[in-house]
Parts: sequence; C-alpha cells; structure tokens
Amino acid sequence: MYKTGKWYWNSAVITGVLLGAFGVWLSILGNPENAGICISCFLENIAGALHLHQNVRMSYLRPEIIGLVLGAFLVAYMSGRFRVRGGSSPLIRFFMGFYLIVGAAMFIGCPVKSVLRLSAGDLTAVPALFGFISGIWFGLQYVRGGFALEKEQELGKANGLVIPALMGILLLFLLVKPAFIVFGEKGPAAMHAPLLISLLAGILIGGFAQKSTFCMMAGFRNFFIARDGFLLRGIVTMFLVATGVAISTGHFRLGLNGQPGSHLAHGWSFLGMFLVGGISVLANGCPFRQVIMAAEGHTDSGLTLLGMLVGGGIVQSWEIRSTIAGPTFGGEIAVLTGLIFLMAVGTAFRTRRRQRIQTAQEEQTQDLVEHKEHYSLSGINR
Amino acid sequence: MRNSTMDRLDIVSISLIMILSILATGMVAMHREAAHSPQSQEAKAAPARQGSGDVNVFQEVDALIKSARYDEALNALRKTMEKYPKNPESQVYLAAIYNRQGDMEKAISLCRQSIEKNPDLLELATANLKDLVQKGIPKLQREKELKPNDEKVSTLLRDLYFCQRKLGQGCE
Repeated sequence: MYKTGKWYWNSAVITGVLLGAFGVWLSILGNPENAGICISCFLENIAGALHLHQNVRMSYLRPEIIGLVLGAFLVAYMSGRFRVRGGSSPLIRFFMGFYLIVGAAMFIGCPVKSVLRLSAGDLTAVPALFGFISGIWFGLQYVRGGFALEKEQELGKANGLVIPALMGILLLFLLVKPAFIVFGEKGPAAMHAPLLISLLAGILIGGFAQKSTFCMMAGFRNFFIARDGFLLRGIVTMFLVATGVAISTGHFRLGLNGQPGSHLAHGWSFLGMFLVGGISVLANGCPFRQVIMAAEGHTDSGLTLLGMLVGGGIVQSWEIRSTIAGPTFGGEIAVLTGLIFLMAVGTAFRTRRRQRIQTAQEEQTQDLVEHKEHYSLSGINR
Repeated sequence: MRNSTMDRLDIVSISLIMILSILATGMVAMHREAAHSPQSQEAKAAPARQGSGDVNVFQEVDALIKSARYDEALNALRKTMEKYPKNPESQVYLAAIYNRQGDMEKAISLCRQSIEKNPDLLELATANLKDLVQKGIPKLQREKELKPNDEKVSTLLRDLYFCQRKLGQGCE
C-alpha cells in the first residue's frame, strides 16, 4: 500500500515538506531558535502553563500541539479513520510517555527537533540522531524477540474524543487567557510566532501526518525491517526542506560551538535519544506520532501523551532537563532509570519468552507426573 | 528441565539492568556525599537578590553607558553596588562597561557567571552584551589559531561560546 505512491508526491513527503518549512519559519516568526516545532519543549511549555511546574520562563500554551491534535482528529474523522481502541498495558504506556520526555529533555529536543537542529547546522544533533537510530535498533531486538504489549480492544467512541476535547479546551484557554493559566513573559515562553499562524501550521501538519502515519521512529524501523522507505523519504524531505529554508533565510550556521539551546555533553545526548528511540519502538510511535495517534482515537497513545505532559512538568520541577551548561545530575539518573525501564519492559513483555516459560513449566509438570508414576510403579513392584 | 527459559537477549537485558542499577545507585551515593559538603551548603545559602525589579536602580548607569561615558558609568555602578551588593543585574552592567572599555577577559567572565546563575538576566544580557559575543568570537578564534596551546584563550573562547548558546535564544 505504501509503495504505490511516487516518492516526490505522497503524503509522507508532503508532511516532511510542511514540517521542514514550518520548523524554520515558525522560528523566524518568533518561536525559539531551532525549535519551530518540538513536541517535548512544547509539552513542557503546556505543562508550565497548567501549573505542572513553576518555571515561568517555560510556561505557554503552544498552539502548535493543539493544532496537531485538532488537525489529525478532523482528518481522521472525515476520512473514516477515527477508530477508538485501547486497553493495552495503560500504566506501562503512561510511564513510556514520561520517559520519552526524560530522554528528549537530556538532549533538549524531540526527534523532530534533532532533525531541525541539524538542518540549521547544529552538529551537536549528530550524536543525538545516532543515539535515536541506535535506540530504534535496540528496541527492534525486543520486537524480533517477540515483544508485544497486551492486546488492544475496540472501545466506545466517547473514549477517543477525550484528547481532542482537552485540546479544544486548551485552545479556548489560549484565546481567553484566564488568570489561572500561566503565560510567561520572559525566556522561551515569550518567544512565539503569531497564534493563528502557529495554529494553522499545527492543523496542516497534523492532518497530513494523520494521513501519512508520519513517524520519526517508524521511518527508520520500516527501513530496517522491510527496506520500506515510504516514511524515511518524509524524514529526508523534512531535513532537505528545513536546510534549504535555513540557508536561504540566513539561519544556517555550521558548527558544534555556540548553537542556541544546545550543550556539548554528546555522550548524554546519545543516551537520552537512545532511550527515546528504544521506547518509541516499544510504544509503537515517536513523541510526534503519539500526539497524532491520540487524536485519531487511540486511547493508549492518549495516555502516553498525558505521561509526556506530566513528564514535561517533572523534568522542569526536578531539574532533570539539561541546560546550556550540560546535563544535570537528576537528568543523568533519570536517563539511567529510563534505560532500566526500557529493558525491563522489553524483557517482561516478550510473548515468546512467556511461551517458553509456559512450555518449560508444562515440561516440569510432565516430568513430575512421570517421576511420581515411576516411583509409585516402583513401589508396587516392590 | 530440557529447555532453558532464558535466551541471549534475556541474559544481555538482565545483565545490563543490573549494571545500570549499580551505576545509578553508586552515582546517587556519591552525589549524596557531595550534597553534604561545606561548599554545597555554602552554595545553598546563596543570598537573595536585592533591588531586583526596581527599574530605576540602574537607570543612571544605563544612560551613562549609552552615552559612552564609561568611567562615570563605572563610578555610578559602584555606588549602586554598595547600596545593593547582592543584586546580580550589576554584574551584567559591569560586564557591559568592561566590554566597552576593551577588557574582554573580565567582560566574558562576568557575562558567563551572571547568565549561568540567573536565567532571568538573559534579556538584559542580550540587550547589553550581544556585541561582546559577535565581535569577541572571531577575535578569540584568530588568537586561538596563533596560540593553539594557550589555555587562557581556550577558556575564554569556551566561556564565550557558552554565552553565545545562551544568548542564541533557544529552548532552555
């Protein structure tokens, strides 16, 4: 199905064009440098606006995230792809969302931002991208080894409307600006493109991302598993378009040093994004894809999104997020516990392993029965 | 039992989980010791800002800097610093004066210290110290080429890159 479209005109490539172009333009129009679109940064901003952390400099209701959800919801609903399902290991998925943000906070950006940073010439994104791809490879070892979370099931339609409705309410808050929502007036919170443009960009990208199933993780995963380059072309297009726009607007500056919103702890950037890559495979979607899936009726992704939102609050409150000076101690420990979580979940949910244990237990029972029979027979003989 | 219940992936995963658990526990234990050190207690007892939010405190200094009367600005700033010794904004103005007087070394050091300790000073630093970054980096890069083993130049360049990353207005 994916391979029928011509590479230069399919929905994944269009999503890549939109992400690449808006990723740079939104920065030019006011968003923080190299963060025209970033799921993790924006969720931290939304968490701050909702009082989930106290860093006012990172508190703003980002219309891009609201737009992504509403755009994806509208396209899914109108095209009949709004299918409500869930119930697959919900608590595990919540913590997956949390650790997706922990990993991204170590690098200061989600996988989409890592491509945008690289396209602006920021070479500190290279180890992060390598980490992300390595994490995907590592996660695939569990998938190949029989990893699967509990089976999801069809749910009532109202369940799937919760996340789009929540975003609708956030949009209302953004327009009305009630006193209980925090809108920072300094730092990244004060840096934002005009509301309408950000919202429209989010809706457009969300719509096409829903249609194409665009996902940073799946782009590499599908290529590794089946040499399917449909989504990978979208990622490459995003990089090329963003690079083109950055060069043409004078926002391209090649180098490791002095890049905005970056640090030089490359090993930790690698490990942070390794965690994001690995968990994305187990959760079946990168942070960007989780947002889109939450909008199309996938309640498990809705829970992952809520985990990411809570994570956005905690990484700020507990000083887990890296700063320009480098990673914090809390961040290092959080990433290590994230890696433990990744491997523990990967190992615990391997169905083949469980089957092997079941087979071994059956064999043990059989052995025991034979053993008893043997001795009882021996007893009779005696 | 005829078949083992663990394959290679299980063994690797469990081994890595154990190694990472030990590593994380060790790091926490070491950090706990560091957190109770006298230096750390001193840092925790850092003084609060004084006079912050009072826009008039540095108005005179700001005006003198803008009219290029740097010696007078320095005198006015010293008086303000005596009155509000714990106000971190004075560090940014001091860095701005040193920068304009050509003392790049002191300016860079103060710039890094002030924005590292107080993220809220970023806007003030951007307004006053952007040219320090713009002119300082090419100058120090040339010096680094001429004196590749000079530790002082390397440190200054590293600090200035830090300021550039911070003033670059990315996410925090």
